[in-house]
Amino acid sequence: MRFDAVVIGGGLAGHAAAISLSEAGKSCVLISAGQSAMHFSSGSMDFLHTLPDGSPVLFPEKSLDALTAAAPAHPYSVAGKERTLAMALRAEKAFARWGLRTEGSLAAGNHLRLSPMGKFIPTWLSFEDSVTVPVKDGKAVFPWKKVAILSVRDFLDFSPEIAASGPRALGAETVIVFFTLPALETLRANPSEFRSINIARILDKPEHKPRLAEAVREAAKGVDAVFMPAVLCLNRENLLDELKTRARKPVKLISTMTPSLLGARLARKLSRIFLKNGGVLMPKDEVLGFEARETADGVEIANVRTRNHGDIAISGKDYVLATGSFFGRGLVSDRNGAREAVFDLDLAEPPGPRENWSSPDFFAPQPSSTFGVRVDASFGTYMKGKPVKNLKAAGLVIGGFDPVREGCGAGVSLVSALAAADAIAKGE
Amino acid sequence: MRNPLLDTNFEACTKCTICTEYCPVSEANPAFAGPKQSGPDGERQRLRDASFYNETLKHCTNCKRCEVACPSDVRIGDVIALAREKHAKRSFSPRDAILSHTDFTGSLCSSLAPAVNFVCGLKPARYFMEKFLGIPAWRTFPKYSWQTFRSRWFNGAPPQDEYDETVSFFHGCFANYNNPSLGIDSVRLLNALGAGVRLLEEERCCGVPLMASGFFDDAKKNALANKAEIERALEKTDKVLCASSTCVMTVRDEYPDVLGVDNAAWRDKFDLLTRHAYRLLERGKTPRFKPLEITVAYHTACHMEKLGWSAYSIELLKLVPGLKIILLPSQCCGIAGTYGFKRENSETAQKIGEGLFSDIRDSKAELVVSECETCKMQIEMSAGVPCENPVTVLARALAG
Ligand SMILES: Cc1cc2nc3c(=O)[nH]c(=O)nc-3n(C[C@H](O)[C@H](O)[C@H](O)COP(=O)(O)OP(=O)(O)OC[C@H]3O[C@@H](n4cnc5c(N)ncnc54)[C@H](O)[C@@H]3O)c2cc1C
Ligand code: SF4
Ligand code: SF4
Repeated sequence: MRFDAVVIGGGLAGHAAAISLSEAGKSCVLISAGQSAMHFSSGSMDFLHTLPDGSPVLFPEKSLDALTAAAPAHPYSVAGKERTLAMALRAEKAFARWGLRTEGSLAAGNHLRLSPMGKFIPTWLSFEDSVTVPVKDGKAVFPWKKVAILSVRDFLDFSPEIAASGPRALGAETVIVFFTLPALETLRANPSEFRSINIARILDKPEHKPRLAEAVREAAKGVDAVFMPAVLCLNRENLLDELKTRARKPVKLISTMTPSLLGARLARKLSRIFLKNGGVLMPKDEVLGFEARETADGVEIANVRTRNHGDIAISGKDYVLATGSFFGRGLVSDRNGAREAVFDLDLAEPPGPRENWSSPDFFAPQPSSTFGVRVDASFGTYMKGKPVKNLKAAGLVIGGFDPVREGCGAGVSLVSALAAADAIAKGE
Repeated sequence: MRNPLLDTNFEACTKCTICTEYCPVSEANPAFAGPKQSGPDGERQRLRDASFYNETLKHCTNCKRCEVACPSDVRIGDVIALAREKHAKRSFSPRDAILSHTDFTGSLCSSLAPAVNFVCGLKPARYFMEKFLGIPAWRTFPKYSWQTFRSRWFNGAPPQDEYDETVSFFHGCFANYNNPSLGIDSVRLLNALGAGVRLLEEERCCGVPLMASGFFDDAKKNALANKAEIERALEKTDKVLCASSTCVMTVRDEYPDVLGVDNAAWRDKFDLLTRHAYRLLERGKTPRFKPLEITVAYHTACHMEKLGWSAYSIELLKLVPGLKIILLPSQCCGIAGTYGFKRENSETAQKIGEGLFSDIRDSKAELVVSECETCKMQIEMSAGVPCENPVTVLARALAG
């Protein structure tokens, strides 16, 4: 089967690349072995919140030079400041164009999102309906004096007390309120399935809106805002707007323990956008092998083979590898070290013997989380030292950065995906 | 003896609940505990104590969307089907017997087709079906054809020996009894791609409706009979092709995984018709299509989603000049074979399908395209838009 572009891996990076390519008029297939890390993510997208030396980042734009000095192998450093910022801006615009209602921008600097653990975490883009606060003069500005945290009774994936510790630490008063609906009782019969997504399926139904709105209105009395765990608005995003109108106060969501509704909602929306652009989705398929040919100045991928398609190869003029890290199974490890799972691409830092992988100090940067493939400035890849001319890498499969510690997972994913798509569209 | 449950990988479950998020039944019917609880979680309990089995497992339609979503490759649908096979109480229901024994029902109804179609449309008969068989009165019943595909074939099919290659064709129950034109279209398309067609000497229902109603022994008998026929056909041809996604998924995957019928020697040779059509195209066969100026919406049936082969049909349809193709987000239509025909499920079935029906109506498509025959019935009834197999659309677009 022939396409202009073959994208391997259906996480944030793969989807962003595939949608951009389809927008550029390329026929595009997205092959994905299963659901991705989006389902576990907060739903906020981080660009950069900590430098490798541990210092916090408020204005990522201003910190890129320091990052390049400290971490020259970081994808932002490799791509260069100009390209990195251009692609980040392009991602902000793309999100708006795709109808993903987010707030935040690099121009405004990081804002803070409230985590379910009651921490305010610096981030780049958050969904409009989640609890965020701005930073002014290096300090969090909590805009409300008193907030209610309204949770569902017996919902165990979210602790209102712990979440409330965040606003309290910033001097706000908090009240905790619970509600339930008769329709939730059936679900509760099965406590292990009393989870965010299942609850949202019920709360999103129009017939429950009056009771839900009543609960929110009650909770809103005497407070300035109502915060709820993200257990609604999976399929009906405007539900929150309606609740807000009824309560005449801001109503906002806080992400819960997994499964993450905000992340799951993002995953669904991205797939729909790709389909709408005429993209071909191959869910639950896995690239198992490939054919390549040597050219005068490098290597060229001829086609890939997948589990579902067997003898029928899938070929593209260009390929994007977005298979994630160890978690997404884009990288695998064995006794001899780590390797990239599909093409055995060159890694950014040779992993060396296994003993050196994890530092004995638990809190020190863990070398294994910076593993990943080596890329050039337009996210091209290398095989046995030679450039692979038609294969780019995007997302966590790339090496040289620590997404968790530096808080840059989604940022690297989006920047690399859009840069890869851009380079392909321009024929670079 | 091999314990098929041990091969389902259920121990690999990380309890992430992504499967439950994608289960159309647990979304529509909260009484169903969902794939994680009914599948891997429940299996751990059932292994300790069989009394943990509970009858809500029968709500599972075996659509396999949970398996497609699971990041850990747990074969959740199989865990549930095997648990039902092992633990479910067997009770005889005439309705389930009629709905699931498609060979018997089909041949009986076909020989009486005009009468059956007439009677099935009558109000008192509908009332009878609802009252005594538990088939809801408003449910449109498939029309039975007066002449089966097989009888038409043996009474005047065009000669098939003048082609470069010959393939065997497994028509399935629906093409035989209800929609012989799908059988005829399949032959026309293959002929246009340079392949002659032969039928199997004998063909039984693949067994999927039998499994759905708990008749695992009957399903296994059919599977063994089909296996023998397929093996015989493969002595003469390289491929056995079928246009129905559910039959293909069942013969390839459910035979070994659920029924314990070994097909390793020929699994890859039993193929979806559009997939092989694509292969012929890649080998340079180019059928000529005339323009078809309509908008079609492609619906990915659950078992197509599991097979992962929608792209072949879509790429083939793109060859038809003038045809505008809208890709619908992949969702279950709710019918799930015979599931939606049962009174206790019909409300759930309609609820499951709501999202798809509104996507179809919003698309303004004149025709829905899908490889599944029960999706066809459900979509035509509930979205009010005709639905055809891509093979039919392609065959109708053939020039000359
Ligand atoms: C648990 C977790 C929580 C996170 N939380 C946040 C957060 O709060 N904020 C933030 O900014 N970032 C977060 N991140 C990081 C961020 O989510 C990632 O940057 C983003 O998800 C992009 O990842 P990816 O697309 O590169 O890979 P993944 O999301 O891992 O996706 C890889 C995809 O590739 C598929 N795949 C793998 N191998 C193959 C193959 N051979 N063939 C076909 N498909 C294959 C996998 O099935 C998977 O779908 C989190 C990451 C994790 C793991
Ligand atoms: S999706 Fe797979 S791993 Fe996750 S809970 Fe379901 S069966 Fe377990
Ligand atoms: S097979 Fe379908 S109905 Fe059954 S548990 Fe899985 S997703 Fe739900």
